[in-house]
Amino acid sequence: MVRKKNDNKPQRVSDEELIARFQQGDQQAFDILVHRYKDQLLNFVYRFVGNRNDAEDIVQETFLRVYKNKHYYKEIAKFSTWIYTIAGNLAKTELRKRKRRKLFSVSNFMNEEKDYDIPDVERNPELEVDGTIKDDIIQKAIEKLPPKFKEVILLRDVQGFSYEEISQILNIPLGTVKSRVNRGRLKLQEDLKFLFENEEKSKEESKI
Amino acid sequence: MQECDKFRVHFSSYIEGELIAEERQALEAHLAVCTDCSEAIYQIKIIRRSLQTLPPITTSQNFEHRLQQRIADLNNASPWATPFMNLRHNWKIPAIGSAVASIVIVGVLLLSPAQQQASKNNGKHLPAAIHNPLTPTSSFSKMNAASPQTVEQKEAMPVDSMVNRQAIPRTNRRPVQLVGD
Repeated sequence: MVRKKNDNKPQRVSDEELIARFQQGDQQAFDILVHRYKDQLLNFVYRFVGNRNDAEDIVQETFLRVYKNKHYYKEIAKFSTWIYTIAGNLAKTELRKRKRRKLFSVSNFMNEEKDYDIPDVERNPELEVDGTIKDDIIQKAIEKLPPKFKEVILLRDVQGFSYEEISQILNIPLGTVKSRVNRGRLKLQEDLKFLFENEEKSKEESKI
Repeated sequence: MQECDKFRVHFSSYIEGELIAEERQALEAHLAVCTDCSEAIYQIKIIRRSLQTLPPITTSQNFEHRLQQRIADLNNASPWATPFMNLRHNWKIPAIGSAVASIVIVGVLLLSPAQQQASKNNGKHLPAAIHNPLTPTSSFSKMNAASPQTVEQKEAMPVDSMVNRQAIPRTNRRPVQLVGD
């Protein structure tokens, strides 16, 4: 898991205290927040948009927005939910831009589904040794999810947020978050079950 | 299958141990007899573990330096430059502006012949433009049918107010917004 939730070092200054100090002009507090969040935000955004360079640009833009709009942050929300909201919105905007570009792209008419196809079973027939699914296959499956399922799956299963935190980040009801997580997982299972069918066949063949 | 759908909504809660005892027992009783659902639960658990163990990536080495540079640029930017920068990045504002300007120009061009026709006819009958559904003034004239002013006067007003205010004596002039009332 990328996100470290239980960092209970007594000397650690809270995010909320840092942003409060930054709001009063302490530039160093902002630098600490950048150092604290840059990698975990990158992982979230990278899994969302599927391109490392775009993801890094979006994380840069996220911090710039925090810098420019620091006074809009109110202490009623956790800083983490606020910054993830900004990053998530920027990531969704990027996907919308790509969708528009794809609509006007000539290659779109030639082979619409090629970019999002999960790798062929024959070329990726095996799971990892520890029983997990290969990274590139799981990444393709994430990219194939509709954005509303993708964001909750990434926040819950990759970033490790609680349902309540996701509800705050996305500003949707708790019940909707739970429902979307469940549907997102079912969609992933539907898209990836061919891997397990292959696994079953291998088991049966080895018995013979 | 409908039986399965009833239980599928609880899969995540079951996997995360959040189902109340009664619901959990009902689901487990179903899993005992339904291989499709029990296989799906098994696969979702593996997918979830795969998501949780995705290898983390890190930002490039110059990430913070690049960010500091951008913040410095932000702080050094002259105050008047910002709106133009925004305009350059937000193409919608100039695009909408151009569209509105085009509509106004086309409107003026369409209305001009109507005005000329009206002055030629000198109140004998309705100008041709009023019967033309493409002419924006037709709706104004219909709405103002009860007004004591002549149709020609009403038709002329928006054109005059936009094109040549000086050409009409001040006493005959009406504000543009009253024409469509």
